[in-house]
Amino acid sequence: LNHEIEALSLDEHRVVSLTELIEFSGLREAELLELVQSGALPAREAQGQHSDNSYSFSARVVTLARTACRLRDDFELDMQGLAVALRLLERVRVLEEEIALLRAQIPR
Amino acid sequence: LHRVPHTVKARIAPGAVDGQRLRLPGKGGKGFHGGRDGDLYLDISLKPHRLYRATGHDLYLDLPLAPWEAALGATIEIPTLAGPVTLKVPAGTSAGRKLRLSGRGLPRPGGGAGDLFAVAQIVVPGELSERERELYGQLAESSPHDPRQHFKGEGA
Repeated sequence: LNHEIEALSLDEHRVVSLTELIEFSGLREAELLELVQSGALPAREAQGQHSDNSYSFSARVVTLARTACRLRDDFELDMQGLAVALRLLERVRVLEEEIALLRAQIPR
Repeated sequence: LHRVPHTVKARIAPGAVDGQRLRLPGKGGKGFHGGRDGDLYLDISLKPHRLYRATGHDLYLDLPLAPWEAALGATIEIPTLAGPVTLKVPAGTSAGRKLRLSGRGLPRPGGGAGDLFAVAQIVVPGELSERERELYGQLAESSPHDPRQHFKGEGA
Protein backbone atom coordinates (compact mmCIF):
# COMPACT_ATOMS: atom_id res chain seq x y z
CA LEU A 1 0.00 0.00 0.00
CA ASN A 2 2.81 2.35 0.93
CA HIS A 3 4.59 2.09 -2.42
CA GLU A 4 6.84 4.85 -3.65
CA ILE A 5 5.45 7.20 -6.25
CA GLU A 6 7.24 9.60 -8.55
CA ALA A 7 6.80 13.26 -7.63
CA LEU A 8 6.32 15.39 -10.76
CA SER A 9 8.43 18.48 -10.53
CA LEU A 10 6.57 21.61 -11.62
CA ASP A 11 9.61 23.38 -13.03
CA GLU A 12 10.71 25.19 -16.19
CA HIS A 13 12.02 21.99 -17.79
CA ARG A 14 8.73 20.10 -17.79
CA VAL A 15 6.09 21.01 -20.36
CA VAL A 16 2.32 20.56 -19.91
CA SER A 17 -0.34 20.71 -22.63
CA LEU A 18 -3.51 22.81 -22.53
CA THR A 19 -5.51 19.63 -21.75
CA GLU A 20 -3.24 18.83 -18.79
CA LEU A 21 -3.41 22.40 -17.52
CA ILE A 22 -7.22 22.22 -17.61
CA GLU A 23 -7.10 18.97 -15.62
CA PHE A 24 -4.51 20.16 -13.08
CA SER A 25 -5.89 23.65 -12.50
CA GLY A 26 -9.67 23.19 -12.45
CA LEU A 27 -10.10 26.15 -14.81
CA ARG A 28 -12.21 25.81 -17.97
CA GLU A 29 -10.57 25.91 -21.40
CA ALA A 30 -12.18 29.24 -22.30
CA GLU A 31 -10.96 30.78 -19.03
CA LEU A 32 -7.41 29.54 -19.53
CA LEU A 33 -7.33 30.82 -23.11
CA GLU A 34 -8.58 34.22 -22.00
CA LEU A 35 -5.86 34.41 -19.35
CA VAL A 36 -3.24 33.38 -21.91
CA GLN A 37 -4.48 35.92 -24.43
CA SER A 38 -4.45 38.71 -21.85
CA GLY A 39 -0.84 37.82 -21.03
CA ALA A 40 -1.61 36.85 -17.41
CA LEU A 41 -0.63 33.19 -17.95
CA PRO A 42 2.58 32.77 -19.94
CA ALA A 43 2.37 30.14 -22.71
CA ARG A 44 5.41 28.67 -24.46
CA GLU A 45 6.24 29.80 -27.98
CA ALA A 46 4.08 27.70 -30.34
CA GLN A 47 5.64 25.79 -33.24
CA GLY A 48 4.24 26.59 -36.69
CA GLN A 49 0.52 27.30 -37.15
CA HIS A 50 -1.10 28.57 -33.98
CA SER A 51 -4.39 27.09 -32.79
CA ASP A 52 -5.86 26.99 -29.28
CA ASN A 53 -4.94 23.32 -28.89
CA SER A 54 -1.30 23.90 -29.81
CA TYR A 55 -0.66 25.86 -26.61
CA SER A 56 1.85 24.36 -24.23
CA PHE A 57 3.11 25.66 -20.91
CA SER A 58 6.05 25.40 -18.57
CA ALA A 59 4.93 23.20 -15.65
CA ARG A 60 5.62 26.17 -13.37
CA VAL A 61 2.40 27.71 -14.74
CA VAL A 62 0.36 24.92 -13.06
CA THR A 63 0.79 26.63 -9.67
CA LEU A 64 -0.34 29.98 -11.09
CA ALA A 65 -3.36 28.43 -12.83
CA ARG A 66 -4.40 26.61 -9.65
CA THR A 67 -4.15 29.87 -7.72
CA ALA A 68 -6.35 31.49 -10.38
CA CYS A 69 -8.93 28.73 -9.88
CA ARG A 70 -8.96 29.27 -6.10
CA LEU A 71 -9.26 33.06 -6.52
CA ARG A 72 -12.15 32.54 -8.92
CA ASP A 73 -13.97 30.20 -6.52
CA ASP A 74 -13.17 31.86 -3.16
CA PHE A 75 -13.49 35.50 -4.16
CA GLU A 76 -15.67 35.15 -7.24
CA LEU A 77 -13.20 37.23 -9.25
CA ASP A 78 -14.13 37.82 -12.88
CA MET A 79 -11.58 37.26 -15.64
CA GLN A 80 -10.27 40.83 -15.58
CA GLY A 81 -9.82 40.66 -11.81
CA LEU A 82 -8.09 37.30 -12.15
CA ALA A 83 -5.72 38.66 -14.80
CA VAL A 84 -4.71 41.59 -12.55
CA ALA A 85 -4.26 39.30 -9.51
CA LEU A 86 -2.12 36.84 -11.50
CA ARG A 87 0.10 39.59 -12.88
CA LEU A 88 0.68 40.93 -9.36
CA LEU A 89 1.38 37.43 -7.97
CA GLU A 90 3.87 36.77 -10.76
CA ARG A 91 5.55 40.09 -10.00
CA VAL A 92 5.77 39.14 -6.30
CA ARG A 93 7.35 35.80 -7.30
CA VAL A 94 9.99 37.51 -9.48
CA LEU A 95 10.78 40.04 -6.71
CA GLU A 96 11.04 37.26 -4.11
CA GLU A 97 13.48 35.44 -6.38
CA GLU A 98 15.55 38.62 -6.68
CA ILE A 99 15.54 39.09 -2.89
CA ALA A 100 16.65 35.47 -2.40
CA LEU A 101 19.49 36.01 -4.89
CA LEU A 102 20.63 39.22 -3.16
CA ARG A 103 20.36 37.62 0.30
CA ALA A 104 22.50 34.69 -0.84
CA GLN A 105 25.25 37.14 -1.79
CA ILE A 106 25.37 38.88 1.60
CA PRO A 107 28.16 37.49 3.78
CA ARG A 108 27.02 35.95 7.05
CA LEU B 1 -17.03 12.19 5.30
CA HIS B 2 -14.26 10.46 7.22
CA ARG B 3 -10.73 11.83 6.92
CA VAL B 4 -7.79 9.62 7.77
CA PRO B 5 -4.21 10.93 7.64
CA HIS B 6 -1.83 8.67 5.81
CA THR B 7 1.82 8.68 4.88
CA VAL B 8 3.00 8.72 1.28
CA LYS B 9 6.46 7.77 0.09
CA ALA B 10 7.53 9.94 -2.84
CA ARG B 11 10.68 9.85 -4.94
CA ILE B 12 12.03 13.29 -5.77
CA ALA B 13 14.27 13.43 -8.84
CA PRO B 14 17.49 15.47 -8.58
CA GLY B 15 17.18 19.13 -9.46
CA ALA B 16 14.48 20.35 -7.08
CA VAL B 17 15.14 23.83 -5.68
CA ASP B 18 13.85 25.96 -2.83
CA GLY B 19 10.32 27.27 -3.38
CA GLN B 20 9.56 24.72 -6.08
CA ARG B 21 6.36 22.73 -6.17
CA LEU B 22 5.90 18.99 -6.72
CA ARG B 23 2.74 17.17 -7.75
CA LEU B 24 1.84 13.71 -6.47
CA PRO B 25 -0.99 12.52 -8.74
CA GLY B 26 -3.93 10.86 -7.02
CA LYS B 27 -2.56 11.38 -3.50
CA GLY B 28 -4.93 14.18 -2.50
CA GLY B 29 -8.51 13.82 -1.23
CA LYS B 30 -10.81 10.98 -2.34
CA GLY B 31 -12.94 11.70 -5.40
CA PHE B 32 -16.72 11.96 -5.00
CA HIS B 33 -19.44 10.35 -7.13
CA GLY B 34 -16.98 8.48 -9.31
CA GLY B 35 -14.67 11.48 -9.70
CA ARG B 36 -10.92 10.87 -9.66
CA ASP B 37 -8.91 11.34 -6.48
CA GLY B 38 -7.31 14.74 -6.03
CA ASP B 39 -3.58 15.42 -6.25
CA LEU B 40 -1.19 16.27 -3.45
CA TYR B 41 1.05 19.29 -3.96
CA LEU B 42 4.31 19.68 -2.04
CA ASP B 43 6.26 22.91 -1.58
CA ILE B 44 10.00 22.35 -1.41
CA SER B 45 11.83 24.25 1.29
CA LEU B 46 15.59 23.73 1.56
CA LYS B 47 17.06 23.43 5.03
CA PRO B 48 19.76 26.12 5.45
CA HIS B 49 23.30 24.81 5.17
CA ARG B 50 26.18 25.75 7.46
CA LEU B 51 28.38 26.93 4.57
CA TYR B 52 26.36 27.26 1.37
CA ARG B 53 23.49 29.61 0.55
CA ALA B 54 21.37 28.37 -2.35
CA THR B 55 19.53 30.50 -4.88
CA GLY B 56 17.97 28.47 -7.65
CA HIS B 57 20.69 26.00 -8.65
CA ASP B 58 23.57 28.32 -7.74
CA LEU B 59 25.38 28.23 -4.41
CA TYR B 60 27.17 31.03 -2.57
CA LEU B 61 30.01 30.42 -0.14
CA ASP B 62 31.79 33.01 2.03
CA LEU B 63 35.51 32.94 1.29
CA PRO B 64 37.51 34.48 4.16
CA LEU B 65 40.94 35.75 3.04
CA ALA B 66 43.84 37.19 5.00
CA PRO B 67 44.72 40.75 3.79
CA TRP B 68 47.97 39.51 2.22
CA GLU B 69 46.16 36.68 0.39
CA ALA B 70 43.71 39.22 -1.06
CA ALA B 71 46.53 41.60 -2.05
CA LEU B 72 49.08 39.11 -3.38
CA GLY B 73 46.78 36.34 -4.63
CA ALA B 74 46.76 32.79 -3.30
CA THR B 75 45.96 29.20 -4.15
CA ILE B 76 43.57 27.80 -1.60
CA GLU B 77 41.45 24.72 -1.08
CA ILE B 78 37.71 25.23 -0.78
CA PRO B 79 34.93 22.74 0.03
CA THR B 80 32.40 21.88 -2.73
CA LEU B 81 29.53 19.37 -2.84
CA ALA B 82 31.77 16.95 -4.76
CA GLY B 83 34.74 17.39 -2.40
CA PRO B 84 37.53 19.95 -2.01
CA VAL B 85 38.88 21.79 -5.06
CA THR B 86 41.78 24.18 -5.51
CA LEU B 87 40.87 27.78 -6.26
CA LYS B 88 43.25 30.44 -7.53
CA VAL B 89 42.48 33.77 -5.91
CA PRO B 90 43.82 36.54 -8.19
CA ALA B 91 46.08 39.24 -6.76
CA GLY B 92 44.16 42.42 -5.86
CA THR B 93 40.93 40.70 -4.82
CA SER B 94 38.66 43.09 -2.91
CA ALA B 95 35.94 42.06 -0.45
CA GLY B 96 32.68 41.14 -2.20
CA ARG B 97 34.37 39.89 -5.38
CA LYS B 98 32.68 36.71 -6.60
CA LEU B 99 34.87 33.89 -7.86
CA ARG B 100 32.84 31.48 -9.97
CA LEU B 101 33.35 27.72 -9.97
CA SER B 102 31.35 26.59 -12.97
CA GLY B 103 29.12 23.50 -12.55
CA ARG B 104 29.85 23.14 -8.81
CA GLY B 105 26.34 24.12 -7.70
CA LEU B 106 23.16 22.04 -7.35
CA PRO B 107 22.21 19.56 -10.10
CA ARG B 108 19.71 20.75 -12.74
CA PRO B 109 16.77 18.57 -13.75
CA GLY B 110 17.78 18.58 -17.42
CA GLY B 111 21.42 17.64 -16.63
CA GLY B 112 24.39 19.78 -15.69
CA ALA B 113 24.52 21.85 -12.53
CA GLY B 114 24.45 25.42 -11.31
CA ASP B 115 27.58 27.33 -10.32
CA LEU B 116 29.30 27.84 -6.99
CA PHE B 117 30.28 31.42 -6.18
CA ALA B 118 32.94 32.03 -3.57
CA VAL B 119 32.44 35.56 -2.20
CA ALA B 120 35.70 37.09 -0.95
CA GLN B 121 35.81 38.51 2.55
CA ILE B 122 38.92 40.17 3.98
CA VAL B 123 39.50 39.04 7.56
CA VAL B 124 42.08 40.95 9.60
CA PRO B 125 43.82 39.38 12.60
CA GLY B 126 41.99 40.16 15.85
CA GLU B 127 45.17 40.79 17.78
CA LEU B 128 48.46 41.78 16.20
CA SER B 129 51.81 40.53 17.36
CA GLU B 130 54.59 43.08 17.83
CA ARG B 131 56.14 42.04 14.50
CA GLU B 132 52.82 42.23 12.61
CA ARG B 133 52.10 45.70 14.00
CA GLU B 134 55.57 46.80 12.83
CA LEU B 135 55.06 45.39 9.33
CA TYR B 136 51.57 46.95 8.97
CA GLY B 137 53.05 50.25 10.17
CA GLN B 138 55.76 50.10 7.48
CA LEU B 139 53.12 49.29 4.87
CA ALA B 140 50.94 52.22 5.98
CA GLU B 141 53.88 54.60 5.66
CA SER B 142 55.13 53.45 2.29
CA SER B 143 51.89 52.61 0.42
CA PRO B 144 50.25 55.31 -1.74
CA HIS B 145 46.99 53.32 -1.67
CA ASP B 146 43.95 55.45 -0.73
CA PRO B 147 40.69 53.47 -0.64
CA ARG B 148 38.65 56.66 -0.02
CA GLN B 149 39.91 58.76 -2.90
CA HIS B 150 36.35 59.10 -4.25
CA PHE B 151 35.30 60.92 -1.02
CA LYS B 152 37.52 63.86 -1.86
CA GLY B 153 35.71 67.01 -2.88
CA GLU B 154 32.36 65.69 -1.58
CA GLY B 155 30.42 67.14 1.37
CA ALA B 156 30.99 70.41 3.19
